[in-house]
Amino acid sequence: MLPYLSRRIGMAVLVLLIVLVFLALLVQILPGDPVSLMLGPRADPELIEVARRQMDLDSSVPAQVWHFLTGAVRGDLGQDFLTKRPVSELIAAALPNTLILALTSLALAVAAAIPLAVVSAARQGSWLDRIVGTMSVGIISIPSYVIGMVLLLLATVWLGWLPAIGTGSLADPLDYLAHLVLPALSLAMIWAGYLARLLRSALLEVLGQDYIRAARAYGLAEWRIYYQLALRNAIPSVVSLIGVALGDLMGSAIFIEVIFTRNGLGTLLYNATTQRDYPTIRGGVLLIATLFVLANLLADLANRAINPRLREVAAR
Amino acid sequence: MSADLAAQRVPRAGAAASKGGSFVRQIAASPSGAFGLLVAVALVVVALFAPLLVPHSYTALDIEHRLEGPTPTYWLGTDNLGRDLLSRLMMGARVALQIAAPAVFLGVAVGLALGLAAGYLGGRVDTLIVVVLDAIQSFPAVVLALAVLALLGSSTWDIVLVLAVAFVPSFGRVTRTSVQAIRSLPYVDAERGLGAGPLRIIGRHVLPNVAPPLIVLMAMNLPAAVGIESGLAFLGLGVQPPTPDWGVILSDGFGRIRESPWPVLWTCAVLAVTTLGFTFLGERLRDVLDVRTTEVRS
Repeated sequence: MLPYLSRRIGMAVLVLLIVLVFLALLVQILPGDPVSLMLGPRADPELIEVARRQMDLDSSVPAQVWHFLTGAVRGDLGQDFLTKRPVSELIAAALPNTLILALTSLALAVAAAIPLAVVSAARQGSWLDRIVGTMSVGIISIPSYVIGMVLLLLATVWLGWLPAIGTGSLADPLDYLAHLVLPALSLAMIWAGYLARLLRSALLEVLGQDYIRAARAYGLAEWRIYYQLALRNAIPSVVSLIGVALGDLMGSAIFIEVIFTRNGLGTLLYNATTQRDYPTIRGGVLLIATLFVLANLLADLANRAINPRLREVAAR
Repeated sequence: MSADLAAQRVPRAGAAASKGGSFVRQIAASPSGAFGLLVAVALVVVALFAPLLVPHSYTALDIEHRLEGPTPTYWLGTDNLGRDLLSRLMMGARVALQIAAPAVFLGVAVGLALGLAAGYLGGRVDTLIVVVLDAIQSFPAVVLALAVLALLGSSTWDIVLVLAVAFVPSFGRVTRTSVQAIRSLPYVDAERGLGAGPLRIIGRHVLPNVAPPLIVLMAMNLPAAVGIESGLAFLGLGVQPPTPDWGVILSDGFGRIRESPWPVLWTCAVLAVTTLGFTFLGERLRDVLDVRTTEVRS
């Protein structure tokens, strides 16, 4: 376990390092100049000079990379160009909303996937099984904003239901929850079917094993066989995918947040891109990439921890 | 477009189907496969011949009839400037494929090269390529596009390039895994023992075996490319407004969703049918070509 652990963490750190260097160099690699993009082509040269200094563009290229790297490690991501507030502060304010959205929708997706998977595994070939099978590949390919918009149309424009727009405040939990329902549902729908299908095939594999037959022979209730015995051994095969799902949700959340005008990392990034506020874009992108790498790392480690078979393979 | 390609390549890939005709029939044998094929063919035909097929000019303004629902003149209704939605959506198919298809082909080309190098050379080259692919994959595609396009501007070529980069890891990984599996097969080893060089091994054994999973992945990544491309345009970072891109139509409609739901509704329907169609086609191709891959999303 230990050599695996150190190798896996080392890999994650290496990937993050490459991401950091890439983001630091992006301004150099690409032909666009962030300062003239922000201030326009006829800006006052003095103003341009100040802006360049603020964005650390007057340092040498290696120094820029070093400053960005060390700054990021200390949690300093530079200054938002328009508001002059630290980028890290803006991100810290936006992050909780996005995390709540992503985690809620993931929880909803898993909660829906488990019964769907059990029913379709129990009644293989039934109409429900076939619907889950077809829609799981289907819905996950539909862009998240399409699902979000259709839900928005359904709920607010036609049913006059729920305060769909805005974030609500955490001080008023019920209000916050009401604002969370539609965005979380949009994102959850995308992954529910897909997780259900993966869980179904894992379940079918487990259900074919001897100990399940033995449990049946003992006369154990069917629901206990599915939910207590089979599920416990089927879930590990899905855990590693949850890391991928979480990363994907962070990406899709940008659209969902913009559509439902919800505060969060997505809206922060969106507003920054419309204003070409490069320090904030860079910080936000770095954070999403970091979260993605971390989610994958944790999912892999959790998968090892609960799946002894993988551990044995690694030890050999 | 990808359907044609698959039909051409498969006989060489050594799959069960030996003739193009029976291969198409095999795909259409399942309802979802038939749906996918229909959508793919319809989309390619509309994209190729849109200027001849549109009932109205996609730029013609009819302010008196702005934001209308479906009427006998405007079958799907009109947008906020009174432009015909059907014509704009049809032209949009062209814009979408013009970006998505080159992006996917470029992604395959680069991913195949990197995957071959990693799988065949192994060692440090392999580690390096895997780390780079991991790094690219640690950005959700939309986020990567956001970071790059904010600096780059958004010409068609820039969008194609960014999407291609986002797709490289999925193609690279699939290629690498297949190469590793095939390289160590006894008969390939034997042929190497007889003096066959790497080019012969790759050409004769690796490529035919890598082609089916790559074809499936292409069919899966094409709708992803369309979705991201339209999404970027929706956010104002992709194709820009005068062009009738689906994302642009969506963004125009979204601003006036309370006045008329039609532009958003139709565009969502078109996007959903397109992505569903290509994904079902990919799923069906996977069954017909008998490919076992776990990669679905990039």
